Amino acid sequence: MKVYRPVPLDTVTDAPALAPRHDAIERIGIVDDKLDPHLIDGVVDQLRALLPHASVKVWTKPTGTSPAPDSLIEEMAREVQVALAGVGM
Amino acid sequence: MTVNEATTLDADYDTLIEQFYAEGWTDGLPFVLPTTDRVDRMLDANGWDPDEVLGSVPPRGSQATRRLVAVNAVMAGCVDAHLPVVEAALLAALAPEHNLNGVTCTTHMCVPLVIVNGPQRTRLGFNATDGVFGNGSRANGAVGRALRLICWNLGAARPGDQDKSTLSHPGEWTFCIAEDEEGSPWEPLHVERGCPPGSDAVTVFACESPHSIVAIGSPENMLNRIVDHLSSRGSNNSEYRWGAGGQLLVTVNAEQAERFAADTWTKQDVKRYLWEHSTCKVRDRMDVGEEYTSEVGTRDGYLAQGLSWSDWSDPDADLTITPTPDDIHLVVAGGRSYFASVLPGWGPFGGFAATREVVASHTATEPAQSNATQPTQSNATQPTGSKP
Repeated sequence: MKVYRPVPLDTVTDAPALAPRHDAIERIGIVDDKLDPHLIDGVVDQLRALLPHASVKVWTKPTGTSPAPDSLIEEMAREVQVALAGVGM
Repeated sequence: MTVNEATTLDADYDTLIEQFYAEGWTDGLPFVLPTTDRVDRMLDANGWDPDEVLGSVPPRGSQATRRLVAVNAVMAGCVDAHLPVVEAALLAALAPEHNLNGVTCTTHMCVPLVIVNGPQRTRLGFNATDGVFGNGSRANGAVGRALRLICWNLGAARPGDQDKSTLSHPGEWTFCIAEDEEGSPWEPLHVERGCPPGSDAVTVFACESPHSIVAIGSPENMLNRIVDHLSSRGSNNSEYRWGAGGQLLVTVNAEQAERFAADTWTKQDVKRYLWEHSTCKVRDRMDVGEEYTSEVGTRDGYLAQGLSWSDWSDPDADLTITPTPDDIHLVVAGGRSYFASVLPGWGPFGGFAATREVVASHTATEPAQSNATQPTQSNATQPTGSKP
């Protein structure tokens, strides 16, 4: 019996350019969904305390519940080695 | 961006069934194996190009080729003639105002409800009356589940993964109703939303499961009971009365609709009454307490952008449950009885109703009516011609 898979075999065709990778984390990016500024501030403070040599930069999404625009994702990919984003509202 | 390849598996029936479960390719319920013969026949019957892409399904973003849509429709139990309805439901769900990404990822329990209108309801055997939100109809069950399986397999809408719903509700298996147009004295939902009379269409609206309401007596008596549910605290509509708005769905059955019509209440009259009477005061929503600190921030953010429609500086100002009466969707559905229902939405965050006409194939075979409950005609006491 021959059947189709119900899921695609996704192949990345145009991944954005990535920031250089090093052994140590130097640049961290956070996506602020504007849903909880206190949480974001707390995460930034914690990261700076834990990784004093790393820079932490926050990008803000236009809306809290829609995906970040491609331009924001591409910019983050170019600039940081680690990106933090939340899911759920 | 990704590209999708059609791939096949070849094994015996039992092995494939277990592989689908093991791979997480189904929602946990039994399913129909999407054999290449069956899927290709469905595509051919509808004249579909298998590789044409209908859109990317969030949050994962896999491309919904017509072949993959048909594969998941077969798994859900669809017949060939259901496929255009599934297509319209998917396109409606992908409309920006519906915000399927947010609807899937939210911790709220909302799920896209598919509402079917037009002659296709009777032609394809959709249930619009007795037990309309429940089981018993192949068309309701299969079309609703097809959309859910597409979200499951192409959007990765899986609990604990991208689907962050705290509780969800049984509509995540399948969530599809039809409107009882024959029992309604008013214009049907899709016509109200801009489709031509007599056309086939699908509206998708993300909402909670139905809340039952005993609504009896005069029109005002019925509506006041519904108002109490619209206004009750705890729903997203009630708690987050700010931002870009929110929407609600209310169903009344044919008997109730006739009662309204007998007293010359139009659909707009009913919606306006509900809207005008489901208000609360600003002060009633200022006591949100510490546990809602982040949401207060959200409200203030919206207010700072001028996106709220109420004067929050005045504690005595009225807050409406939705921005306009038309954000309360009114559908005639269910058996003839006392019961109406309210289905709260996701509040101002999205999941808003989106409607798409169904472009049907001329060749797809329609299902045998004996396979589906078909109470739409028998339940109606008013002929279709009585509608305005």
